[in-house]
Amino acid sequence: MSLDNPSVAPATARSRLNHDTLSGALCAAVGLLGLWAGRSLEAGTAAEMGPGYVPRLLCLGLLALGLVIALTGLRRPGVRPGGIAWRPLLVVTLAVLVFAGLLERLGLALAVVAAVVIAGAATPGARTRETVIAALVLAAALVLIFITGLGLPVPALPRFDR
Amino acid sequence: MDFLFGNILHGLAVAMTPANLALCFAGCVLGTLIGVLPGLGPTATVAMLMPVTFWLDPTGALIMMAGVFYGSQYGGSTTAILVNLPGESSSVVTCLDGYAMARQGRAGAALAIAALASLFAGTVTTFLIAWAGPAIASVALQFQSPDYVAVMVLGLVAAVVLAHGSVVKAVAMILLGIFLGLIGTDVSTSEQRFTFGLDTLFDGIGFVPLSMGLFGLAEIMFNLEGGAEGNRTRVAINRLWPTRRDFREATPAAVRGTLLGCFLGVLPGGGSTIPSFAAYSLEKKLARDPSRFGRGAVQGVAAPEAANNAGAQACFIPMLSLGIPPNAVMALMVGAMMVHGIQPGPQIIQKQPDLFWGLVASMWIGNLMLVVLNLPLIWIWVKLLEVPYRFLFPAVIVLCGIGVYSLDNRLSDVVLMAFFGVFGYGLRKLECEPAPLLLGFILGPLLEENFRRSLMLTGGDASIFLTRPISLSFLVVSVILLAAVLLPAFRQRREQWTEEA
Repeated sequence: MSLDNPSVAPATARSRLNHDTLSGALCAAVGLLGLWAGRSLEAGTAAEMGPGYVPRLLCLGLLALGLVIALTGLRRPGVRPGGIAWRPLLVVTLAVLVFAGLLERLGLALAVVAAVVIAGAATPGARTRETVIAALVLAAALVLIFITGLGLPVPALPRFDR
Repeated sequence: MDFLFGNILHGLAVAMTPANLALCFAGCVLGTLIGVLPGLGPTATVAMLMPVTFWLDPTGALIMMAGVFYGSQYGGSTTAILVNLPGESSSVVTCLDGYAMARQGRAGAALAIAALASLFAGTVTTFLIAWAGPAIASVALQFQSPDYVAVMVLGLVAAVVLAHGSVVKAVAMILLGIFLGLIGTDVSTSEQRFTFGLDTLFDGIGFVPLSMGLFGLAEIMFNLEGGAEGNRTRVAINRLWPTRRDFREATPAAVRGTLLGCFLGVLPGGGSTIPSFAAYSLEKKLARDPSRFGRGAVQGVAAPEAANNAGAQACFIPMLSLGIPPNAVMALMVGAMMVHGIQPGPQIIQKQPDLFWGLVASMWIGNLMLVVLNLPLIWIWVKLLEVPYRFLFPAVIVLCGIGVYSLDNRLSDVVLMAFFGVFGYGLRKLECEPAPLLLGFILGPLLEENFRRSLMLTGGDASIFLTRPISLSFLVVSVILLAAVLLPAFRQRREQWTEEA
């Protein structure tokens, strides 16, 4: 899998904020959140388990494991997680959210064009004309496949009669 | 034996209908297409194309998904040989000797050997599934709740053993997956759990937005870190057919690879990566002249290719006969069955014979199609390698969006997918594997239900798990496995395997 990504941050800095500490903290936090959010769920007994029995058991497990992982991380300083590539992370997420926001309002075609144009910004080096052409071709193909062909119940283009 | 062939004939009748043949073909083509493109592994490919199959009938849908799965596996080997880029982890070893052969001007022979070894492995494994699936299922029909709990525990433990990296973290990922699976309405009491008042979560987190976010979107974000360009050197393909000497050397290697792949693939947690590595090292040990490996040894292509194909198909056995998915791709298959309203489990073979036998037969047909697709038509895939990633990933993002939306026509699912994309990216950054999480998510609700029912039957006495022979034996195996992983000697070996992978 490591072949996919040649650009991981150099593994020099040994830190207490390493993979283990952070992922352990994440698990422990989810465990705590679950215990708190599920505090009103009735646990019942082993023979008559309520809706809270298994969640409580599970969250305690998550909390305990999370703490174990975090503690090993603290005791053995290791590699800090590689730098987060904010640009693809944010741009890809934004493209999906914009797609969701436009799909029912402005129709599939415009949602696709908007999402593709936004996604094009995920890497440096803009090639606007190329991206727009690709977006239009893709939009036309997807409208044909999903609306004409498969009958997806969304408008293809914005409708102004409403 | 008559019974076996009767069933296979029945399956062929199902798989040979024009619609199912077309679906199998479409699955193979789409799978190869995406598999050829580096960076998208079989799990991501199947996750992304899954919604396309929801319009189909269940049998057709599974036939197509299976085609996508082994097609993408296959596409990965092609790029491994031609441009030294393994499309997926299971074809990493194929790079070693496959690319070496290509550089010596024997790319065609390497491709042909890989294709024929895979076809052989696929044929053997198809019969294995047809023979072992019903046998295992008939035993599994006697399972009761405690046995199911135990077999699921075994499946999860095995997933931990075979996951990359830290054991404890993999266990934590499983628990996290089970937790995500609990969100929604409790089946027995219809009380809301962890929905935080969000309507979207009343029916639980959808399996599709979760898997497409974790595997599809997160993978794209991760791939884009290094930019969207890539330059590749190309090798020319001249003669396709291997020499007689190639055949003589490759045949025994392919047979050994197949056996190893079947064996390792059937185990819970199995898949295609470990068999291919194991087969390669076995060949290297058996070879009279090990130094030829890495310099274009035919066995180094035939054995791992046979093994990964056999492994990829053998892992259908626990999925189809027990309803327990042994790896993430099979978890996707189980999820797809549930979307179609089919409860996975040992009853499928009897209740849905068309689905089971049709799927099995289609695998063999699909393998045949792949040989045709990959040998005479190889130039298409080579051309495809030149499509830049920057055109590809926006299309994939949009397809993910449409796919998730089309499932229930709910925009909230698209938003949920975006959330899990970010979450999956974060997990990768923390070196946590998303695959165990997905298994936990799929098995969690089943595990809770059977756990509750077991203890209800005994009035809260947990010793039932140890007094029933079936559940006891599964639990013993789980404990042994877990203990083995924690032992230093085995630990080293496992790290070696998973490091290489």
